[in-house]
Amino acid sequence: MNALELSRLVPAPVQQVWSAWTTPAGLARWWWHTWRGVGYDVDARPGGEYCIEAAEQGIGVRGTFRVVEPPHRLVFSWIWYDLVDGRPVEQPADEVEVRFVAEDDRTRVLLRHTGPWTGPEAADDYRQGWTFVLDALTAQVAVAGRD
Amino acid sequence: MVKYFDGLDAVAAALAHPGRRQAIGLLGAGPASSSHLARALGIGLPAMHKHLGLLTGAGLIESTKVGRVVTHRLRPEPLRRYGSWLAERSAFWNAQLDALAGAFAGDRKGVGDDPEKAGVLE
Repeated sequence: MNALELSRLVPAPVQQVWSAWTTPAGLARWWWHTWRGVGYDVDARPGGEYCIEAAEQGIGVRGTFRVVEPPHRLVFSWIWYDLVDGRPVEQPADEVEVRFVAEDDRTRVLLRHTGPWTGPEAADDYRQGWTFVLDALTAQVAVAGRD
Repeated sequence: MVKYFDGLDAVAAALAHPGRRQAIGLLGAGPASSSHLARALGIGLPAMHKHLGLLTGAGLIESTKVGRVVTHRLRPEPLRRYGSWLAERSAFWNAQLDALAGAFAGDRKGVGDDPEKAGVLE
């Protein structure tokens, strides 16, 4: 399929979870937070850029914000890179959408990660393609008799 | 068009159609001819050839001709690579969202606030 969708219920109000995604101090609480020396740059405005780099681990991710609707919706490009001899080797840009929905005093975080390929087919067709692949791989693994 | 990840874009497009998924499912049970697939899908041969072209372009099938009969065989490797792409991202985001929920779980006193484990929404 074209997109991956996940959700999580986070035990904090929407505004706090929004800040956790859109400020360096907020991100540092959870994004690669067990690693030392991770750098966080975030300019959470439409057209603003972000970069989160873990130099010791040799990886990073960067991109540009396309949609910033506080405190409910973020859409940004997603460019993963590996540091090879200290220089970034980038992958093609994906796109990520994150939505924050209040549920009492907690926040439902809905995340959608889209591959760079888009075709004329509807998103639902891509989603069914993903289910198909999962089922096929599960069946193969079951037949092979190993986990 | 930019080639992405060894042609995963072509695999994604090939799978984004119910008839093509049905054809792949049938070929998983063994090789089949174009006319056999067309009959199973309930479509004519011209339409079947169009789908077969997309599947071939995505590296999902191999075809051999014996006499007048063309037989198609499934190549599962692109499915595995596509599955890996999705599985890696799924694992990454599951870990990230666990960390996000965990960062706030410590803030709360009291019981019963376990962050809900997420799966892939369909």
